[in-house]
Amino acid sequence: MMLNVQGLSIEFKTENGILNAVCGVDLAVEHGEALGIVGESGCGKSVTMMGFLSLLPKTARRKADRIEFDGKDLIGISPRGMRPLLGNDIGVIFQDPMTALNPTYTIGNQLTEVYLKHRSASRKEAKERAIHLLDRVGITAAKSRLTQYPHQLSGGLRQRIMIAQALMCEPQLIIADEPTTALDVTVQAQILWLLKDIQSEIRASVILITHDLGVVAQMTDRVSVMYAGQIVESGQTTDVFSAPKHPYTRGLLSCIPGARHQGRLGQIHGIVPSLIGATPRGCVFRTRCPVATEACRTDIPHRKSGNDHSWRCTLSSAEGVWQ
Amino acid sequence: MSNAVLSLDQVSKAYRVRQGLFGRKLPLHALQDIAFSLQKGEVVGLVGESGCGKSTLAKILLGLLNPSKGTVSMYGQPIADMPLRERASRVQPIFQDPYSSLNPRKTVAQIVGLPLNLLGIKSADRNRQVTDMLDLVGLPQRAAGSFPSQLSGGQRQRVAIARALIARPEILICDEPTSALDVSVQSQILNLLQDLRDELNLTLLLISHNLAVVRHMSDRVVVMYLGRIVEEAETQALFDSPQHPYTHALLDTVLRPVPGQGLPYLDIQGEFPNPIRPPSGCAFHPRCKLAMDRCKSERPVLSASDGHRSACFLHDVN
Repeated sequence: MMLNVQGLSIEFKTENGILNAVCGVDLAVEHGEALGIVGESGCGKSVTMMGFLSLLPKTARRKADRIEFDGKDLIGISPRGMRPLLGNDIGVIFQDPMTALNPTYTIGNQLTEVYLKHRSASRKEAKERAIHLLDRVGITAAKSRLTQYPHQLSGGLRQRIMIAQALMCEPQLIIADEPTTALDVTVQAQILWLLKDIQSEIRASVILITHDLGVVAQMTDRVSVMYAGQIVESGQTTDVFSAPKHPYTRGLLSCIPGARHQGRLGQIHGIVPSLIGATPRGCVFRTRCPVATEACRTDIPHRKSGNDHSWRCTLSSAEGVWQ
Repeated sequence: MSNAVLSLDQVSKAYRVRQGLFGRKLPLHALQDIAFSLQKGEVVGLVGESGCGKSTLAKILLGLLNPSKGTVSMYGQPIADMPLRERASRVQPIFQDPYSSLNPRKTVAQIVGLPLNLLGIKSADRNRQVTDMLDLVGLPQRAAGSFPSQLSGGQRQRVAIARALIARPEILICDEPTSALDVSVQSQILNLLQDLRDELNLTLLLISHNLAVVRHMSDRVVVMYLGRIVEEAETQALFDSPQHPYTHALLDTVLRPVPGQGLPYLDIQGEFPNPIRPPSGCAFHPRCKLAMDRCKSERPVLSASDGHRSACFLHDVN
């Protein structure tokens, strides 16, 4: 298994009390597999990633039963100890290439830096590798781009550079956090193709973090749906989309225009609960759930069916909700 | 055309942009020869990628910018001749980002009531109207005393809608009204806009890059590329039989939440051109797989058949 995370919880100390950003999250990614993590803003998808990469700020506290990368235990490792892995075995592509690239360094500088750090390579070799990758991600005149600065490039080009940077050391795991959210629709399609091609080419595993269910449907093998810091449903992407079990997943799918073509869009009433203070017992979604009952205030069972499809709900199926 | 609430006649807008620190100022043609109209009670979707001139057009319709050429008229009367106050009471905006479009130091009641102030409506009346309006957009009354920072994104967008509607305008210009919002909140706001349109007989211009949203909401769709309209048709006709290759590509980009459909193969190459140096002939030709020699030298004009307009030699009726 490429990545195995069990029982990951992350708290932040804030002025108003303890914020439980992530609560008991389990994630597993097999070799060569693409896993999607979907959810709306504030559900904890990005913090989860920062959590298992040990990139959390000082105000955060992390607890976990198990974090393993390619069989190696990461729980006991200090943030400094993560350095040989980050950028080397694990490549990360962030959402906004304008803030993720350093505006004061040239593209060439930023691409070769990781390579020189992790490999005993000469500058010349690093430069050749950078040109090769710029070519690979579809950037024309690759050589002359090395001396340019991020602000001289368009959003689509910057995102390609981020991808090239993540690939410099041939990572086994690529993590993409909303890689196309800041881009135009035609550019989005190009970038997604690129990611997909590269994944199959170097046989890497991918974790794709996004709020866009259309992207997840076309890009991933398995998906985990997050709500208020918990994974409420996970399984094969085809199973989760064709037969969603959790009322939240079902509601989310009904909200997307075009999924059903005419009539009114589905609606999830109310707002996300505050995550500050002690975690309440019971289901996190019950305040907005149209089929909630008294039973939802007690401990919620993890249900399972067939092909490793699991969900947390008192109901065995959310059939009939939001039809 | 006589029924048109708002119509644009050959509207162009050029900015002058300095190239580099000491460079010359060059003209940037943000809009060129834009002509279309909004009929009473209609929802028109306006789509295109960043830099195509969508937002410049919105600003011109709101009277925040003057066109370099051409006229915008309301019921046949040029809006340039209209006093700002009258114009503002008939056309109102809803902007993309409800985090920056609301004054953080004013309460919701003050924000929503401000347009009434300008119309000289007395304070007792004003409070009643604000209360009614908060009801209409689905905000609880206790929100009246809150500051924007105390509200969620969806609630803020409701405040923006309440502010836009309180002066009882006929036309709403919605510039990416839901692109800063989550899908579950987006569906709430879109449903609200549809209800309000039916209830108040509003005319809506919906500017968006999200084609699924535009298809769901609009009666008619206008597609723009690099400052020009390239296609315009009834929603159904546009989605069923798009004529312009750019529209084709745009429609292909929609990823539906149905696994197994795969990523689209786009018939489009390269990147959006620099608007300061637009390509010759048809502005889309460097990216178009179907481009002919003629497209490089000659610009196709927008021609109509059965109310479906497109600017492409492939569909030139002449």
